[in-house]
Amino acid sequence: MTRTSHDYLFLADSIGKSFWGKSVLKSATMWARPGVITVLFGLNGSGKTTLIRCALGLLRANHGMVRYDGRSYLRPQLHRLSRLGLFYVPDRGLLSRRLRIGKQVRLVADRFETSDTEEWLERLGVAHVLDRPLVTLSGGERKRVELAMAGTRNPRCLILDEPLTEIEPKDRPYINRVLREMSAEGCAIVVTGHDVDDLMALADDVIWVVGGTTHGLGTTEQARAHHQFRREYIGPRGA
Amino acid sequence: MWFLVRAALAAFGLLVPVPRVAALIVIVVLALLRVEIRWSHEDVLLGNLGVSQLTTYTVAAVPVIALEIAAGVVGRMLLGPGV
Repeated sequence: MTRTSHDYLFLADSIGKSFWGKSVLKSATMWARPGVITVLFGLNGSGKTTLIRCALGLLRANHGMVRYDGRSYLRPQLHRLSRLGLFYVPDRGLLSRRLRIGKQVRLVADRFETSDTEEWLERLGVAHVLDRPLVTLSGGERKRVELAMAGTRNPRCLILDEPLTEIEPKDRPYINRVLREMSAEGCAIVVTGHDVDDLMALADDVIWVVGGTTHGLGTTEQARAHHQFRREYIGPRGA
Repeated sequence: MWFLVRAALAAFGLLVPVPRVAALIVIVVLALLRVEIRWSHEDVLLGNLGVSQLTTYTVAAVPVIALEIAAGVVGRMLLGPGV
């Protein structure tokens, strides 16, 4: 089936980015579709985070364009996109060290007038950390709080950069289930990471970032059948 | 400590008549640098709340700049007008 740009809630098209003359992205494209979980695979340093940061305006791209909810942006800005329902969880962490966890979660709830914060915290098993400072939280707890904040926001589009990093293997299917439920409610989700098994179980759509560009590989079955992706990225174990 | 160093710089800058504008520029640049270092981690959190980076940095920088200028003025009052 041929897709048009109208199928995408979020589309960052032909993004290019160089750092000090060294090209990281030549022409890379990523997208998010309502009710679909798109997984962005790529080796370390392939440009996944750079692509996301350019797409959200946290880095200025050398070229490319972003479309969100039918509007086009040559210079996207996160705060504008977030007002339209986008929520971004970066790989380096979202939470501030200067505020108690509960205060930060309440900021999101108050700003967007949502009332299911407690439910999200309970679902993700982090209701007990609200009065603690950030430094006392484990990596997994931080990620789960960030996901609870995202859930509280009730976003139309959720972009998560390496959400499974620092999550205990036993908790990963649980995180995946939460993302799957959000997707079922119509949220357009983009996830990056390296955990092939967990992310393949989650993905509806696969994008591969390689050589400064991207390849839309389609479904997980199509991705696994992609000879170059199998050979250069997932290796014989994932074949 | 960092604030004291910059306050001293500001006081010194405001003590010397000619380079006051330069001192103010130094104060503003140092303040923005500090704000950038302190707030660069929070820009995504605030961005997710719909707050622009410009607003974040402006709100964060104004009190820092005001404090440093005040420190410079107090320093000038205590130490005299300088050269």
